[in-house]
Amino acid sequence: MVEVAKPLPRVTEEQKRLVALSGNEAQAEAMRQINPDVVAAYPITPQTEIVMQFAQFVADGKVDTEYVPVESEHSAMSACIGAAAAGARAMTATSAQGLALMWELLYIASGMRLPIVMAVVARALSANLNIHCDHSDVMGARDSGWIQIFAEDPQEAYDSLIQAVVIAERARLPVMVITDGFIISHAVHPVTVYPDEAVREFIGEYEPEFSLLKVQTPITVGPVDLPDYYMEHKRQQTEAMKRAKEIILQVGEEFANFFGTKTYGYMELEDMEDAEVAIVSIGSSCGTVREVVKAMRSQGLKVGAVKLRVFRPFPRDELVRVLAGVQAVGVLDRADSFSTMGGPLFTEIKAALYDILVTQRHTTATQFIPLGGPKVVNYIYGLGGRDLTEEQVEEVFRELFDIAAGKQIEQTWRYIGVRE
Amino acid sequence: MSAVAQRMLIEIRWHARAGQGAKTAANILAQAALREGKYAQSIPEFGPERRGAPMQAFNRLSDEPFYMHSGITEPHIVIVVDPHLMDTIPVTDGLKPNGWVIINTPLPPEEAQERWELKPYRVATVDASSIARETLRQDIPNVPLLGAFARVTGLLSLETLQTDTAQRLEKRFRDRPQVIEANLKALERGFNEVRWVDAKTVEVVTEEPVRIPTRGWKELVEGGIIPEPATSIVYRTGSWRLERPVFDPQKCVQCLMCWLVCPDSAIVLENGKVVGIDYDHCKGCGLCSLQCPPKAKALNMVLEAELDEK
Repeated sequence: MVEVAKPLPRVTEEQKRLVALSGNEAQAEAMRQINPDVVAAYPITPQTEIVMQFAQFVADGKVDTEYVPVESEHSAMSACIGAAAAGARAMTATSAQGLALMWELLYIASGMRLPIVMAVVARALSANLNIHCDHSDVMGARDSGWIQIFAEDPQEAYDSLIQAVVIAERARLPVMVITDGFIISHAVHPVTVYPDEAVREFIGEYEPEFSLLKVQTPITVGPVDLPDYYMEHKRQQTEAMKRAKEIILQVGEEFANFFGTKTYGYMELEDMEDAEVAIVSIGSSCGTVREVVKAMRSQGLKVGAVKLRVFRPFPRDELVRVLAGVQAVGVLDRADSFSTMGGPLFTEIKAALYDILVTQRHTTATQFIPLGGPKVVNYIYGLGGRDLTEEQVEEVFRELFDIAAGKQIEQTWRYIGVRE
Repeated sequence: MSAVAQRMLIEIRWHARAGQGAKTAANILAQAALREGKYAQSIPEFGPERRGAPMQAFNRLSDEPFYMHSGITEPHIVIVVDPHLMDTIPVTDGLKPNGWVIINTPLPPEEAQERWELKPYRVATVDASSIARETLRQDIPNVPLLGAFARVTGLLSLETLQTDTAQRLEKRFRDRPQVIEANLKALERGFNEVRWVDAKTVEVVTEEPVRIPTRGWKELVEGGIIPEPATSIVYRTGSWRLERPVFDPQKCVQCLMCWLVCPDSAIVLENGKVVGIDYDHCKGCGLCSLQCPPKAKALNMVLEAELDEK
């Protein structure tokens, strides 16, 4: 077989710098390199460092950004919406209650199809008051029409934030890049950073099709939309998400070719080719799960892991293809939906698998799922920053083997490490 | 005929202008129907329109319980509170053949049927505005129209409407029994003075009503952006007008104050001079007339109804 030589990345290894950065520092650095037109933000733990450091960049004249120190997150997103409608590249960052306070604006940003990019440092929602990590804030925003990309570590946060600018502008949708509060935001990891000019070349100039500042061609944005048109515009948003699926892959590949990194996609797989049982998770826990997979594989146990990077749009078909051959799947949710049927990631994965099974029963078409499909169990963990240990993950894998072997379970969702 | 269409269920559509009390009338109708042991709904329709804009309200009536919450598109009865709408709104849109059109107008029903091409329908007319002015001292035509409705359809009795109205007004007008009396009188006169004719033909006019063309999601600009300026010009808000400013060029001193204050850019200028009014978009707010210098008095408000009579 003739191997086609891959073109060399645009950015050489010598041009990159390996530095020790926390998740917040890595994202602030990405924002400095992106040099957005407008940043409007309000501090909230554990995100504060991002906008604090960025404000310093503004004060030091390292960026050309118009920095708007607003009085709340509601105003932060409002200012971003105004700026983006005017044709600016607008960014912000928030956490927990701050994201909750932005709620109505999240829908306005996506409904107006504005490519705002936001770093969300995931944190538990009050009450009770808790500043630590879980995904209850971002999972609540899952139907707000924003693209949601989860970063496992500071490197992914840095890379994803740069990609997010391009994804948002091509898809005409706002993007959240999500990191786990404290676990990633405040922990220092090795991060490879790229030259400023290279980042700026990669993201390019933003040239919106419509903008309020193009005064020669006046437009109206955000008009009243009554029953005769509102639904068509919502339908367009779904279509935009569908398009975003392709754009995310394109940008991941372009990024890899440009910077010489791994290729970012919807998910990353660990030993899934022959896995009998598997765990699906998102965020920082993916690294922990991966370590357990390695350890158990060394004992000859056929375990695997799926790291889901993109939650919105939801890569249904791709997940089903990966999980089809597995006997039992454990879905890790860092948020409860209080529905009494499990967390948000679990219900969506289970729904995705059910859909394919039903189709199969009523058609003769060749399907990639064996009859019966995998058993899917939910594990809710890490609420309010509770730690997830490798031992606990190993326990989950061992229970999944039991379930695969026919162990009867009373309910399909359970909690890790909660005291009875 | 579909099963739904054969059901014994009466559907009613009111056509009025915002502020004329059609929503209240629909509520009263439903309330009175409940009092007679019927099942009833009163369904308002809300939009961005303001006072004077054409609006609709709906009723459903039946002897049996019903639970649908969908809109009404093929009514049995249409009630037109403002006769000027007959020329601008397709009031018979979807109306069933041999259905009722009840109009507030001094015209006799034969003439109304002829003038507004209502041959496939039963037409009833009552001068509800005059009755209201004489009894209630203001133009609230919905009260006499309810009386007329009871008479021609037989779906409600006059007594029920009167009992219901008396009870409803009792608290508010305890100290002014003459107000309650006037309302009962208005109902009774509407009941007595309504005149009607049968349908002249069973032939259904299948002419498609003119609708604003709507576009699918694939054709629309994403995000609801309106990519061109001044598109509101296609929306002819002139139909909302109850009063019209009449311009007298002989008296105008060209101070341009009217042009400055008009919220709808309806003062037409040519070479910097006022030449007239854009009646397609003037809502009749009267600001121009108020601003016109008293010595000039070049803009005077006239009731649309009076212009019609002339």
